[in-house]
Amino acid sequence: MQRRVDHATRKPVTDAGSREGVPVPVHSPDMPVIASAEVHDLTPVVLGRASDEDLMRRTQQGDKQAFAIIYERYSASVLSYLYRMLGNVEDVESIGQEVFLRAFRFAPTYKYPQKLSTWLFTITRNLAINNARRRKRNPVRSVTELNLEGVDMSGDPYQVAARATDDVEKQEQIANVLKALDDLTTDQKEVIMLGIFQDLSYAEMEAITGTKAVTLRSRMFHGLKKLAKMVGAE
Amino acid sequence: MADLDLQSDPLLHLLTDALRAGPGTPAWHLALDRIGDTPAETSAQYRRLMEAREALESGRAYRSVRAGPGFTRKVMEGLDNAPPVVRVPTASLVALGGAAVVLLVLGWWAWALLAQGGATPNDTGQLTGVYFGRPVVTTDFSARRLPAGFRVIGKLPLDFSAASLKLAKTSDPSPAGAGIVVDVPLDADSTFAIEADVRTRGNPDDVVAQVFVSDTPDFSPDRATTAHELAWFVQSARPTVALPGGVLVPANFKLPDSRDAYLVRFVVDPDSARIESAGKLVWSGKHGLSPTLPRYVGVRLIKKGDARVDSAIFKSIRVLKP
Repeated sequence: MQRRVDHATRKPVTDAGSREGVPVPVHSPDMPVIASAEVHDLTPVVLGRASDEDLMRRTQQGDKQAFAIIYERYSASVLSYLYRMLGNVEDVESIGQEVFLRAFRFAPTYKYPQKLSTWLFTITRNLAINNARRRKRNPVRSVTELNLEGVDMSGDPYQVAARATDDVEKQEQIANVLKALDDLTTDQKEVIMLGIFQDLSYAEMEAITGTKAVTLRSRMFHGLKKLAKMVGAE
Repeated sequence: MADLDLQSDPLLHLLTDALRAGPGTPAWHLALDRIGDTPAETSAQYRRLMEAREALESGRAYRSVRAGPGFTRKVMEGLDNAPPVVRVPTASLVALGGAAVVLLVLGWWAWALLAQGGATPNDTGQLTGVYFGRPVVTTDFSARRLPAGFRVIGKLPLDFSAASLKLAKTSDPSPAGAGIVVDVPLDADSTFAIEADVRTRGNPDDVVAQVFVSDTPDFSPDRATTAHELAWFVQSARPTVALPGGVLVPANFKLPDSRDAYLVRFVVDPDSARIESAGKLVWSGKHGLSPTLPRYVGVRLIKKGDARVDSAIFKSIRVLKP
């Protein structure tokens, strides 16, 4: 499908010379409009406004420029998810790189109309799980160069809480909840990371984790209940 | 809160929706209103849950990181050295070995069925790898009139006024249909894709939406059908394909009960086709259309009796070539 959509407004993007809603006649070699929208003809500006799905189609044709825009859109989400799940910058760096390299190599396995974020988080989650298994077998990690931004500040719950509010009592509550996150079960933590921090719906989480939505709801409920209890609210 | 019925208890459903969506969302406000109606102890427990959720909302920046220039450089260097080829992960090789045995058995079974004349999908794997990036005819009906490149077929009046294709209201209670078909047919030896966004409401059997490829231009005046065509439609919520010989092949899944439009996709080459609904394969195999006659591609709506005319509509249609 060659439908291009403005990523911000979700409205169709038309080429210069074409009229939205007016179809291109069949067998008209003299029509230069949409038919000229070959993969590599678009300017970077238009490419930057293309929908995720369109960018993935281009990536499937080997267009690295299109994939670079996908990387730009999703790198922060993927890396933040990994950091929150793993709490370890070295792992985040190595797995984060692997996520995007795999997404590029395995781009042909992406099928519309699946949401790109769902597909990407499935890859991310699988690599994170594999990493956790490896770490159990071999806990010794090599220290790599730190190439992520915002690591120092974002890892300290008190600094995050202080930036969120001036109310000291609220700051304490926020910091306690954030600290308590690491004490949740992996399942409960995961549903909070995906559902709350990544804004994914239960249906999207179901597609990523392979766990039924009703179970995910239960994990969300009990995870937050546990957080409330840990911070002394209950 | 000991016995939780998250499946069917509306309040718990709403509460878990609110906990995911977060403060400020409609679900959040609704949940707060509803919590007030519960017994005092339960209400207090629910409020604590929502306080914990509020604290998480305020702490969204926690462990939020962005790629630095060094990280991005490494990824981009990796891309330069990585061809976009699907490679089989090593960890899957053992599983694939097992799968190969299963496939051998299935292959033998399929061969046995074919030898007996059974209708088994043929190998259309090559169709899945084709990229269709060149529009031939495409419309989202935003012009609110018959789109250029199409002509009307059938008896009933059509309505384009809502930026979609639907049947116009009519007093005629008899079963009938109408649709649109491309003005200029595609060559018999061409490979092409049809993508139609369809929306069905209520009972989809009232008005049947169909996507078709025919090798004859002789459309019946009342129902807009032809005697030899490959068609997709929904029957009892199950996507179904009608083959040119008249055989109906229902999918092994039902469409979800949703008000959202979903995609129907045909990929057709000179002798095979692959048809998907909402991202799932409905049917694939030899389509049985004439190897020499041109292809007439279109969509239509067939009303059964005195049904609501807007219970099935088309939101857009695209005919694409590789």
